[in-house]
Amino acid sequence: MRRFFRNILRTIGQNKISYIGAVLIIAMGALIFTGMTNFNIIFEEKCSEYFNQTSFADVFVEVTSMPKQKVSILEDIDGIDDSFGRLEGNMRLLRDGETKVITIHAMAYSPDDNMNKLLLIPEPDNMSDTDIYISKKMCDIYNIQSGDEITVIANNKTKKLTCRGIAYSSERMTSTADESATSPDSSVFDIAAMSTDGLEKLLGAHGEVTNLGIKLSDGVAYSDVRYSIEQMLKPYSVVSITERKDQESFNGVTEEIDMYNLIISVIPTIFMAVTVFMLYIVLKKMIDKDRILIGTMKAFGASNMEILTQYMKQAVVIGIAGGALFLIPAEMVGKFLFIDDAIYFNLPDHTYTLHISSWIISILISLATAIISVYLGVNGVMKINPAESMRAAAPKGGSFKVPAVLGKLLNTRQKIGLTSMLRNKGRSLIIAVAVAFPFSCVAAFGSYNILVDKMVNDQFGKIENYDIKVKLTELIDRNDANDILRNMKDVYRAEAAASYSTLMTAANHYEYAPLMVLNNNSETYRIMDRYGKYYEPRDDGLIMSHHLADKLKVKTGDIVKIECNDLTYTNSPVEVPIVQIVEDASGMYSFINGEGIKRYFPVTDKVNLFLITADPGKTDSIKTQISKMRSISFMFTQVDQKKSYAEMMSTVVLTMNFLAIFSIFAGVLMIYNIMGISIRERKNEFGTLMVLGMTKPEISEIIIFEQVINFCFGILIGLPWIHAWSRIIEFAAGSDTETITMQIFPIMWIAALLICIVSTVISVILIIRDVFNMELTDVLKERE
Amino acid sequence: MKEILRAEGLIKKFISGEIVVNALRGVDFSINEGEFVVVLGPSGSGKSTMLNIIGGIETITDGKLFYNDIEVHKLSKSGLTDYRRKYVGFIFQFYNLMPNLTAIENIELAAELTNNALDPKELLAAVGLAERADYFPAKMSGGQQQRVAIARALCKNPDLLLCDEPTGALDTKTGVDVLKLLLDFNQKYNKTIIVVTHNANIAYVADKVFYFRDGHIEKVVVNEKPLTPDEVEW
Ligand SMILES: Nc1ncnc2c1ncn2[C@@H]1O[C@H](COP(=O)(O)OP(=O)(O)OP(=O)(O)O)[C@@H](O)[C@H]1O
Ligand SMILES: [Mg+2]
Repeated sequence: MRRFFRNILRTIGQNKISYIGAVLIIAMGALIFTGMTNFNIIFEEKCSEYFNQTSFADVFVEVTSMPKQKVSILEDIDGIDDSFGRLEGNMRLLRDGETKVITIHAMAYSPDDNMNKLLLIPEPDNMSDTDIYISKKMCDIYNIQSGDEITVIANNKTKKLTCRGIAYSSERMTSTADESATSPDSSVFDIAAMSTDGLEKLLGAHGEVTNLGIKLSDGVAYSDVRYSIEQMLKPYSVVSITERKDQESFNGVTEEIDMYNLIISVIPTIFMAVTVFMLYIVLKKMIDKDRILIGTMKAFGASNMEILTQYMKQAVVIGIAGGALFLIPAEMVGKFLFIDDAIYFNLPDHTYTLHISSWIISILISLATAIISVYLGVNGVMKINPAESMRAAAPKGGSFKVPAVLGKLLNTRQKIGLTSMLRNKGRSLIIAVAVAFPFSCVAAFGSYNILVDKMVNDQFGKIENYDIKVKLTELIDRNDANDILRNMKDVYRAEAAASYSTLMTAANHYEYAPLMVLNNNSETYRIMDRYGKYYEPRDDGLIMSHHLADKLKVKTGDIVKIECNDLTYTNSPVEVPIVQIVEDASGMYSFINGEGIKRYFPVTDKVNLFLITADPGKTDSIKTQISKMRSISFMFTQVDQKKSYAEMMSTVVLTMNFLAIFSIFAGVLMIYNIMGISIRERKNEFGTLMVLGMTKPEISEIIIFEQVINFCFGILIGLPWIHAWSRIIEFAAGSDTETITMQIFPIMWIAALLICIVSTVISVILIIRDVFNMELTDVLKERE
Repeated sequence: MKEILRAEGLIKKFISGEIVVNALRGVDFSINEGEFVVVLGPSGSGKSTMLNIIGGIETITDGKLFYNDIEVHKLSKSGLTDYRRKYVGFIFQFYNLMPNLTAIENIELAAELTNNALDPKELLAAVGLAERADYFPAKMSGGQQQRVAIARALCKNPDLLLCDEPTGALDTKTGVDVLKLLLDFNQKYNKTIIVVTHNANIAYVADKVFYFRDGHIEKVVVNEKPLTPDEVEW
């Protein structure tokens, strides 16, 4: 059978394009699959390595202040193995000519830290009191180098420190300033590390700690010890207690991994499935062309097994080539996504390791696909008896005749085209699928980054519509705030509001979430749902984001208990009803107005936020005025917020862009290949028509007429696919705090349509040329 | 003389949907080892169908077919494959050469399927195409392709050689050459050959002639003294 295999090989040689197409199609599926799988595996690996390496705690407590030597009393609680305390505090970084308010969150470092260890690079051997290690991003943004002197204001004193390197904290892989910030932004807030002595002196907090870590014994759950911890730490004024899974850094990473697990388990699988289907079609068609030869071989006594074996060799080559071809680009995609995420999450280790196992999986999947496709193809031919397989297959689809009404509208060629299409419905369907797939992918995936732009603009334009947001260090009286704002220059519009970081409880569910005190008829900060409808804050209860309501398992009319040191002096929680749940796009907020605060809480209407819109072109003037104020914690500009919000979404945007781009490639390939094969398999038919005297333009007309109909059919079945893709994207890219409302933008409809039209037109032109290049005599020598 | 093939009441129906074609309506015959049999009959009378059944590439609707002791009508698919491989050689009207193999490779292909193959090169020379060994089928004339197909069939060295209009596409002289080749194979190795043809002249060289009509054998003529091809007026 070596000679028979040689025939197969030479057949492949003659149909190079189709086979290369088949290999490329499967390679595309494998590329997306391997790239994204590897990215997620490696990201997960590096994160868990990081948590292990830094001895990540099980429970995290923030207190106002606590003597260091008292920390170990926690270990008296049954179920607590180990405890740890660290001093942390904010200071302001001063830069010459910088109008931004830059806050450094300094964390005390000691080589003996037994939990939540900080990673300093280079590793210090002897740290002096004025040495500081700063986050990589902040160093990059302000171009701070090792050995540079920096000026900070801490505890109302100006001090000079020397930067010695980079600090990483697994507790703060992303650092958000406080509840008033929408996303992490290292240009206004990030971490740093100092020696414990140095930081104690700087903050004037000798022997004190603010942040605790707790390790639980095996088998002990957080809920088992939560009460005891609360009781024991009551004297030190607990700001927050969180368990590992809710800890900001850990939760952020877990959500990212979960999201990618979802994206990976859905999207590349669908990609792979479509490519598997396409490969099957391509191979089956190639084998169908060989039916006469297979019949002849069988007449000569070759067994099914022998013939199958020869084709299997071909399957193995295609499968392995397809699985292996794009492994390098796949790793590049994986690495690209990984680095993007590693930067966002401040991972100290950016090394991207190769995972051979995923290579093997990719090769195995494509090998299995090729083998199954070839098996089904060959088997289809072999099931029929040899005498029959030596005749061309009769068209299925019965005896369709063009109805008389239509017959009057169409010319002969169009009737031939229509008849042949309807008698070979499978062929038309396959071409339509080849059009529908890229069309739907480009439209849906391509729309995602436009959607993110829109989400950013909704958040910072329709909801938060100001140039500068200022967070004060303390709550002040609303009238005083208004006085300050009135005395500022170049202000177009200004408003004071408040944000409280609270613990909300309903039944046995609880959540740390910001409570925003907003103004009625405000133009600077409003409540808006994802359909664009606005809501006014109320005094008779909370308006709550559905993300938070979902977490607390509450509905309109329910009561939540609110705890907050600034709102509930008595330490007893205050009960507030929920008057409205809003289907908003992002965040876990609840809202109330000043009257509501006075009504429910034992406090007066105080504020800690300034929302300022500058006169045109005067933003810098406002920034300068504010940076000179004393009691400012943070200052966020709209421009920076937009940027950091977009950065937060960037890895998913990148992923969707990759998918859109690859679906273009895969689409062009599929359209060209599938159309090519299904037209070329009819060479004899066209040859016969030519022998009968049909001209080239007339035959082209048949081909074009058919492809136009197939194309339109493809676009039509692409529509429900777009709908399906949209739901998948919403599902995969959404999170606990983010609801995606997919929408296909006109520009992407047009782009997707154009891409499909262009690839179809090019394919049809190339294929028609190919059909006419044939030697009529050759065709008629073959019997088909 | 030893009987090699016997058919008893062979029936073949082609059923496609509502339409039933009775291609064979009860065919009986007996063929002895080493006989050269010619099958004549009008188009559509069932000649090819019978040949395909004898060759084991078409199923039997009803009736019996014996090849020596083998009950062909009872063979399973793999049994039929084995039967074809061991005993049968085919020459098709439309050649059915592998388009991507050269002349010599097409013949070698058959050699790979059997243990007692004849020498491909010798056979190619015997059909007068030694110098065309490396030509692909598309570059050869119909007659040349048919001769390669014959060489391919002979190469397998089958005991039973089935030919469906082997000279249909050939000019008289080439046709006679092909016929000589077949007769040579028939006499030299004592092989049984069945030839379906529209050329009544070929009947003169046959040991036996089957006349087909409407799916059955209307008449069998036994030639006591077959002529040689050179004695026939073409
Ligand atoms: N696969 C098939 N399906 C349906 N009918 C068939 C099939 N093959 C042959 N027939 C019918 O069986 C009958 C006998 O056909 P067959 O090919 O045996 O004729 P033949 O004698 O070889 O004719 P010719 O001399 O034209 O080759 C014909 O009526 C033909 O239409
Ligand atoms: Mg026939």
